[in-house]
Amino acid sequence: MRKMLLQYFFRNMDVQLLSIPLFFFLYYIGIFLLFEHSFLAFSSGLIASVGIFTILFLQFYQRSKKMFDVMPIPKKKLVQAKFIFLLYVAGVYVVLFNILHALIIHFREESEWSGWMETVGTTLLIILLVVNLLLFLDFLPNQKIASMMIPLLLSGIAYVLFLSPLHGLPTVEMFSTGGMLATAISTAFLMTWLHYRIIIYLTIKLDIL
Amino acid sequence: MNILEVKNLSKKIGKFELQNISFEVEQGTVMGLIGQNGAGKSSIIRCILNLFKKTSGEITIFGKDHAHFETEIREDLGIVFDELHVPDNLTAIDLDKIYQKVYKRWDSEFFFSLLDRFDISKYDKVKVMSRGMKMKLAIVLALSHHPKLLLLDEPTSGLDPIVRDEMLDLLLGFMEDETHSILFSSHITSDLEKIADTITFIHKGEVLFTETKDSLLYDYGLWKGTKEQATEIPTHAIIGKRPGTFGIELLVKREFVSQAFPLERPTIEEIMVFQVKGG
Repeated sequence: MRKMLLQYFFRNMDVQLLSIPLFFFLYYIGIFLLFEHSFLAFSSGLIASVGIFTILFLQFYQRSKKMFDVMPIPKKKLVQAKFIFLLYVAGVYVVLFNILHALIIHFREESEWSGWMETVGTTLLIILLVVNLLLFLDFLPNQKIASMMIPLLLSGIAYVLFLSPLHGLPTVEMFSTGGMLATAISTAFLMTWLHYRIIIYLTIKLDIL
Repeated sequence: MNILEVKNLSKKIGKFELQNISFEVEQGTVMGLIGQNGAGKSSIIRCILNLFKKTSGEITIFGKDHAHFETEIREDLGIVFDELHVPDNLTAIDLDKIYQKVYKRWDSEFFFSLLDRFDISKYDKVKVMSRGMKMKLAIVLALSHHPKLLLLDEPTSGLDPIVRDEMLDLLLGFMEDETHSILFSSHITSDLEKIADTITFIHKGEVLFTETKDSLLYDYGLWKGTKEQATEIPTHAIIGKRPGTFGIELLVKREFVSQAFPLERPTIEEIMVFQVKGG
């Protein structure tokens, strides 16, 4: 029974399971490049990945709950399966982030990594913004959603501006430690929100779920 | 033998309250739960399923306490709500895979044969199905593990007459086995007239009566006449009245009314309306 539940959860959450760390790795690169502060980038990226996945999973579970509620499945087993699934995912993310972190460190020490990494990071960010702009246009007839998109876009622009010091200025001199932390937290929040919107966009457009 | 027994069930849900609900469903019979929207029919079914925790009372299904033996009992229960409660990204094939791992007696062959019989696509996702298709799929899912008791909560509401008729046919087929029983809640009383053996009338969280359908239809009579003629009918015989084409219509207890007054056979819907509106 537990195996069936875990298979069901994995099958229905596979897109999110793979895409979330990808998006947060992008955030990780941004923070790492900007502040050269790998622990901050690593821990907040990991926490945000697990956090956003948990939220999406619980939303998905809510949609399946009514089906499970009337089945001969002991409630205890359902709760256990939920926790075991989230533990698995957290474990996968910890391993994944550690591998990525080790790779980044390796590249940093072995090669001139920062040049292409900057380009890749900035390109991905621009893609994110374009996707969100499409989202904005797509939902335009729905004024409520459109109005929610405006602060998102503003935040996106702010984020790009925030990354501009990458191209030359010594950032550590520009910001105090407190400012760095505040910016990192807002960036994590922004990336979470961007990712959430993108998942919704992909779900609707590509009929993934 | 009683398949389902509800004794003095009470449950408070916000301002609404189920009060001392008692009834039994005998093996091999269909009980209809009727009442207005908000009368408490769905709450009773949710209490039976232990989805709502009862405040007090006793509920036994197949002679076992409904809460202590919840998982065991569910193997023999088929449950249909007014909507199909499965994730809408799944197809019937996906559902078969899930259900066969959950129900010990899940019969895939029977499931797919019912899908074919009712023209339900096994490849379509639930989200592209019409409401009628979804409800037929809900009943097919509820039947394919060969349950002994079906609990149906407004399964036919919002469906066109043809789909409703198909669903009732399916239920009549289920009742061909004498060990099977159904508790069917609905405010569409014509559906219950077709298949119910007994009727329990719920009003404002209380049981107004439980009677066999035949005795219910025989015990009550519908009298139509002028207001002057109506004064000759004993007041204790009158259950309810409403203005009619000839002046007034009365729902009366046949046993208290002289044969001099011609009485028509009321429908369950008329009995329900008169009971609710009263005098």
